[in-house]
Amino acid sequence: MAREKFQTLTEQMFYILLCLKKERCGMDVMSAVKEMTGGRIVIGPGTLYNLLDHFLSAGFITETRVEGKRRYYVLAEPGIRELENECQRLQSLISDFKRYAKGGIEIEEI
Amino acid sequence: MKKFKFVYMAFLPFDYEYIEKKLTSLAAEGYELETVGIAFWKFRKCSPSQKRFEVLYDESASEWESSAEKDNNELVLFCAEAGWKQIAVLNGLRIFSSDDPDAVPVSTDDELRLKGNLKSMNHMFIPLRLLFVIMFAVIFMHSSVSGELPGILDIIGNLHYMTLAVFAAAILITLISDLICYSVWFATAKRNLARGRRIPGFKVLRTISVTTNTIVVALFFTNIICCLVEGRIFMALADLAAFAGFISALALGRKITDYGRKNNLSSRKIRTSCFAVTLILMVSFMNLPGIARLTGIADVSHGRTIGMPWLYSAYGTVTHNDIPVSYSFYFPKDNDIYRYCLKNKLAQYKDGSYTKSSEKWNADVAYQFVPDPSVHRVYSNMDALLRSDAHKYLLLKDGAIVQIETLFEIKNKEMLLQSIMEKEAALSGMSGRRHGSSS
Repeated sequence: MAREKFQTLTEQMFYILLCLKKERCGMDVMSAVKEMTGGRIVIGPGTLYNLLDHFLSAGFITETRVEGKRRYYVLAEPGIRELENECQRLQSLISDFKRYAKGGIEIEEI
Repeated sequence: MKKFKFVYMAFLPFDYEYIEKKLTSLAAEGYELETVGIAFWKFRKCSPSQKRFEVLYDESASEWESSAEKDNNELVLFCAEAGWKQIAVLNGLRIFSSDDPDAVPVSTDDELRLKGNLKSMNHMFIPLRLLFVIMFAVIFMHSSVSGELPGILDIIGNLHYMTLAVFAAAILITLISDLICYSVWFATAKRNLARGRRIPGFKVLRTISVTTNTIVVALFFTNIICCLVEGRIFMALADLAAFAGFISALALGRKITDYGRKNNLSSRKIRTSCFAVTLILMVSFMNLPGIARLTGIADVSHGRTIGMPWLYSAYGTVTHNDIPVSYSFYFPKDNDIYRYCLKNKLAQYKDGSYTKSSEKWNADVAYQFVPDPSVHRVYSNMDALLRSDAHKYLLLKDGAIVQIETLFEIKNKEMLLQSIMEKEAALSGMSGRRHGSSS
């Protein structure tokens, strides 16, 4: 769910944006995310619809074409930036984890 | 075995847990949803199944949605491809079912679902209830506690007034309790999600809601029983007729929706047609006396009032050839007779005596304005009197019905005053009777 203007992305958000690096329609997104995560992340159709709507309004994705009843979307520049920011945030978490939990640095020493 | 079954769906629109559970248990019993109604949903007999149901909040969902619009809806398409079929749509929510036990749930994000719920409720549920709260608050205040209206003793002493005030109060409590229930549920759900818990159920709050709604329905029928006890059979019939009119209007609206959906009319056309037909029917049922008066097919006799200060609506039975047609009509506050009554303080007491009183109108004396002794009406206070149909039509001794403006402005004013004086003279001869400052 969009947490206060997409300050952070949920897993579902993250993977939807990620798989829209390539132009896809909604249903393709659902199956792509499932495939990418080995079934760990599943996105319900209602959730997908709402998130695509949010991303469109935020300008993260753009609608490229309509084929029959299917609409196709692709990641836009703000969406790419959002993904990169999220990635950076996650990397910071991982690096902190490595430093303090695995690297033997005690929090009291800081 | 019954082919169809009507089930009372006692839920509030945000209570998706109830809808899903109810539909699941009915499917297991061998009933599938045929159509959704206002309170009763129609189910068709089928073989028992383990179908899954899910409610999805979508503020753009409209019960007037046509088949074509449904087929082109991207959300419905996503759900269909994921194994979910839309089986019903109400304003702000869609209901899906699936035979596939492995189908991915429609909503996989509780926080997003809660947000959608709030958006849908902000769209229809909350504004509508707030509007009704204001309306019934005005009715309650006007029918019980404001200005010239009767005090508590008058209300208690008058079954009709009492039930009207209690009825308005009960609806108010229902509406407010719905809003409070939603606020409590929403706040708890939000807090639970923030703590990583599930969205809570609605069992206790549902019980409160169902109880208050039942009380309101019970009071509506109590009101009718009170009318019967007081001998106002026409009033009771009029109440029932209005109720039947309301239900008929809703049923017809449903039929129009079904027709529009089948014929692929746009939701805008269906909605407009529904509103137009419902409005015409409702106005007709509630204003048959007004129509009768305008067309001249009936006269007005007997009356009661209900407080709506901006309309000054007066409810009265209209008869045509001694057959009650219906009731209710409106007249403005600046009516000539209104001013005339205020100026002349015409009144009559409970025992039937008249006075052209100079005393201030008060609530502990029942007033009656009788322009002609053959017309007998009792009003519990001046406010009711001024809003009653008595000013609009008068039955004269010769049986003629005259409009009040004509009566006062042209020739019949003298007749009225004459009749009052005659009555006063007759009463003055009666021993042991003296009322206030009769002139």
